[in-house]
Amino acid sequence: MSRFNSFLTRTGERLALPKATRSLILVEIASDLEGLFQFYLEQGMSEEDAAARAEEKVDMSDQALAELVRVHSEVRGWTDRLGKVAHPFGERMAMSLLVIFFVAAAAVAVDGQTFAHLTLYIWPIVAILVLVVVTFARQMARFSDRPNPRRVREQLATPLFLGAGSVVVGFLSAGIQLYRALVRMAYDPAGAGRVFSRAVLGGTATLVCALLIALVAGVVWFVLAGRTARLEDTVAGAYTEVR
Amino acid sequence: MALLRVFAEGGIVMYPLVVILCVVLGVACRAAWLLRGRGEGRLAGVQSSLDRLLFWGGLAVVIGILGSAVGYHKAMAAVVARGAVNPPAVWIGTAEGMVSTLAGLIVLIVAGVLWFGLRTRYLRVRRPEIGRA
Repeated sequence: MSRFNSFLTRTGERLALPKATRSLILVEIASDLEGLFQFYLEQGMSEEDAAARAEEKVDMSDQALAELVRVHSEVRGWTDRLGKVAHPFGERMAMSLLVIFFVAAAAVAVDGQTFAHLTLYIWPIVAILVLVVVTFARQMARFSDRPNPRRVREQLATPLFLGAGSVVVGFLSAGIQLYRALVRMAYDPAGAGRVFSRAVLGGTATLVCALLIALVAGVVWFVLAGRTARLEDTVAGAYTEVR
Repeated sequence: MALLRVFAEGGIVMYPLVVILCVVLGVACRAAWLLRGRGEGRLAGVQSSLDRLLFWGGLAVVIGILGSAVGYHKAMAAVVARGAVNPPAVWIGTAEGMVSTLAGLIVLIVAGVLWFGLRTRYLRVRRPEIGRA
């Protein structure tokens, strides 16, 4: 699989960490080794010399390795830890059920009238949806063509961030709608009922879209996190397999 | 009976919330089971389960608010279509619209309480193991 298999196997044996964390570290070390190897090749070294030099550079003392173990044992980013282990079967089933439920509910309940009340604030939310779709497509493309686990993981939190952004924009738009309606109602008490109902219609329609897109982003993250964790396990397993 | 009536008032999003509550309880049981056992990867498994509790709790809140927003939207569309407002009906509709949000928050609270209890236990178990390492 890799010219650095025996080096990575030795390093892996020195890492007293759970499998998922060890996989993550080995994948990172392998990526560093490949980068250095390419650099030394470009400097004019032979393949053997470049590989030996890269291993020499990356080879860690017991102290450095202990520090690495400590860092990976401590609290890391919430999304990082969450996506480190492949999701159990039961949770994947539950997520599939939720997706089926919402697709069916949308097919039954959504019609032209649903979108008739949307306000201008829908455009940032549409932009977020486009970004979620683009992120998903790019990540899936990365999985299909000689995937680099480090690059895949770097982008993993993006769908969650976009989902949170969608929720914020949805509430912001509903709040602005309501604020403007209340101000207008104060100056025109006779038409207050009409103004208020239109504001609630517009605000809730936009909020519903924002929340649905947040759910889509959550599902996208769930799928990508599971695939990334499995990819890291596979790649680390291949690096350390006995030849 | 009163509980079933309130459940029905929450609308169809109450069913996904029940599914999520089951997942939360399942994840918590798994974490508790891992905490009692032994083995190399169990602490990583517990930590991952703790984080997933919060993920599912957050998802429940989003779905609960979504249910309320849909309910308010449908109620207001009906008011606009009829051209007349019946205040008691609006108050009842508003109260019913809140049920799914409250249900989502209750699922989050359950997940949060389980997270807190399990995390306290996890930290107690983890400390001596790190000391040994």
